[in-house]
Amino acid sequence: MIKNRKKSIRYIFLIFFVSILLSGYLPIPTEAASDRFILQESSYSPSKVFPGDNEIAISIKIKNTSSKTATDVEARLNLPSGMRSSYAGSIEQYLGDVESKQTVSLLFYIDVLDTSEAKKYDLELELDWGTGEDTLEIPFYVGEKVAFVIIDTTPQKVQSGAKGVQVKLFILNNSTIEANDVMVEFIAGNGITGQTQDFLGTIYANETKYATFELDISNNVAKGPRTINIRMTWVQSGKIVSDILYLDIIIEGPSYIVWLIVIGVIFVAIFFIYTLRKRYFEKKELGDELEVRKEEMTNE
Amino acid sequence: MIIIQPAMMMILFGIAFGGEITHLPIVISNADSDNNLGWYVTQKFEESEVTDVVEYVNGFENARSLVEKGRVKGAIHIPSTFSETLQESKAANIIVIVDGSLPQIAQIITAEAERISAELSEEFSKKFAVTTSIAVTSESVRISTFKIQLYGTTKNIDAFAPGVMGLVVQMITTIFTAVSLVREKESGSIEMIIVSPIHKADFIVGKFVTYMLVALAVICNVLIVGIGFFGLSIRGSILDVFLISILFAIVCLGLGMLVSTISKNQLQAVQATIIFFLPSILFSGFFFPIEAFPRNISWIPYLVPLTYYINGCRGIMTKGKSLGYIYSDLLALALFAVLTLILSIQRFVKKLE
Repeated sequence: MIKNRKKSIRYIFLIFFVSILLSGYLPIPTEAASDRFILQESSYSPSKVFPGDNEIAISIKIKNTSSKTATDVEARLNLPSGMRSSYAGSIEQYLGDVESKQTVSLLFYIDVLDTSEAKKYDLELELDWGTGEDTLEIPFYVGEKVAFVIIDTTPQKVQSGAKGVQVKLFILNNSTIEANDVMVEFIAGNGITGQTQDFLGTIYANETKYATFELDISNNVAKGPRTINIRMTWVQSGKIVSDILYLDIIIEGPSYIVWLIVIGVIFVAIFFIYTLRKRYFEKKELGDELEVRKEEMTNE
Repeated sequence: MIIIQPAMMMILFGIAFGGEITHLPIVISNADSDNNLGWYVTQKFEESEVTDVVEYVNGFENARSLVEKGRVKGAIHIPSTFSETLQESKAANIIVIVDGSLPQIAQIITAEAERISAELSEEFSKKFAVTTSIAVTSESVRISTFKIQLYGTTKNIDAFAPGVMGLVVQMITTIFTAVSLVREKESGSIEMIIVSPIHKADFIVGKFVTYMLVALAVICNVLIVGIGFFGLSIRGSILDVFLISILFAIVCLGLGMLVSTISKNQLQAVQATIIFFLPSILFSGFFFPIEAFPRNISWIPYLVPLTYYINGCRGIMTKGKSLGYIYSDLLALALFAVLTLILSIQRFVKKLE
C-alpha cells in the first residue's frame, strides 16, 4: 500500500515537472472573444445615414469583462467596401491598458460612399492586445437615399446675351421613397445669372416635377457645351439631405435679332433727328416770312 | 422762388429720406405639419420692425404668386418638415422669396430673415439643451435660409435705368414744351400764329407731335447708350418700353403746356418745371424705395406720374412682363395724361383766345 502510494506521488511529481518543462514550448490558449471584451453600447451621429454622408461619428463602448488587465489595447474598425475612413487614423484608436471590469469609449469617423448599398452592415471592431485579440460586430444601417434624375430640359440650347431665358428641368424621383421640401439650385458660376433657385415641395416615388429658372446669359460666357451643377436639397426621414446632379447645356452665339433691333432703333433715331432738323428749318423759313410780313404790315 | 425752392427741396428730402426702410409688407406661408416650432418663426416676423406680415397664405405657390404680382415685397415659406427636421437633426430651412427687381428691398428682407434664423438657432439650441444634475449639454441648432430671388440679381444699371429714362423724358419734354411756348408768347410770334390761317388745334397738335418725337429720340438715345455701353438688360419687349414711354411723354407734354400757361417768361417756366421735377426725383422711388417713406406721407408717390412710369418700366425691363401685367400703371398714366391735357389745352386755348 505504502509502496504504491509512494509510486503514485512520484508519478504526480513527474507529471508536474514534465508539464512545467513543456509549458515553455506549448501555446497557452487565449481567452475566447466573448470572455474578455463585450460591446456595451454603440451609436452613430447622425442617426440616419444615407449613401454620400461624410464624417459619421461612430461611438462605441466596450467593457473588459475578464479578471485581468488587457495591456496595450489597440482598436481598429474594419470597414466593408463602400465605406472609408474620414481622415487618416479616424478608424484606429490606441486604448492603452484596460483594467478588469473597466468600460472604455471609442470614437471613429467614417464616410459612406455614394456607391454604397442601402442595407444593414456589421462593422468589425478589431481589438488587439499583447496576449490576445477580439472582434466585435457593430451594427450600422445605411438607408435608401432618394435618387433624382434629370429626364428632360427645355430649352437645351441657350444664346449668349439672352435675358430672362426660362429653363425648365424635369426631375424624376427614381427611388421608392418620397422626398419632402425639395429645393433646387442652379449653380452656374460666372456668366449665367438670374433666378437660379426653385422650391418643388414633395416629390413622391417615381413622380416627376419641373423646376423653373429664369436665366440671364452674359455675352462673355464661353460658347459650346457646358456642364452645370444642379444642387438638390431635400428632407428625408427628418434629415436634410443633398446631392448634385449634372446638366448638359449648349451655349450658342448671340441672336442676330437683338442686333437688328438695336440697328433699327438707331435708324429710327436718325430719322427723327433728320425730320426734326427739317421741320426746324421749315419753321425758321416760315418765321422769317412772318417777320417780313410783319414789317410790311408795320410799314403800311 | 429763390428762397422757397431750396427750402422746400430740403424739407421734402428730410421727410422722405429721414428714416430707415421698415414695415415692408410680406406674407407667410406656414406649411409646418406639426405647426409647433414653425410658429416661433411666424412670431419673430410678426415682432420684426423691418417687416409687416400682411397676410397668411396657404402654400408656397400662393406666397410666390403674391410676390410676383408685386402685392407684397417678400414671402416666407415654412416647409412642411420644419419641426420634424429641427427635432430629428437639429437643422431646418426656411424659404425666403424676394423680388429681385427691387435689389435694396430684397437685400433688406433677406438680411432680416437671416437675422431671425440666427436668433432662432440660438433660442432652439437652448431649448433643446439637455439639463442633467452634472451639466447642461447644449445642442447646436442651425436654421438656414434658402433664398429664391425672383428675376435674379438686378444690376444697378437695370434698377436705375427706368428712373433715368423717365427723368430725362420728363425734363426734356416738359422744359422744352413750356419754354418754347412761353418764348413764342414773349417774342410775339404766337400772335402771328393766331392771325395766320393755322387752326388752334393744328398748332397744339404740331407742338405736341414735335416734342413727342423729341421724347422718343431721347428714349432711343438712353436705350442705345444703356444697352451698347453698359449692358442694360431688357427682359421684356422693347416695343412695350416705347409704348409706356409714349404715354408718359404725353403726360409730360401736358405738364409742359400747363406750365407754359401759368408762366409769364422763360425763367418762370423753368422754375415752375423744377417744382414738378423735384417731387418726381424724390418721391417716385427712383433713388429710395417708396415703401421706405414714413406712413404719413406714403400717399405722395402715388400723385407723381414718374412713380407709375418707373414701376411699369421695371415690370417690362427687369421682370420681362407684358403690358397686361402693368395695366394698373398704364391706367394711372393714361388718367394723368387725360387730366393734364384737358387742363392744359383748356387754359392754352383760353390764352390764345
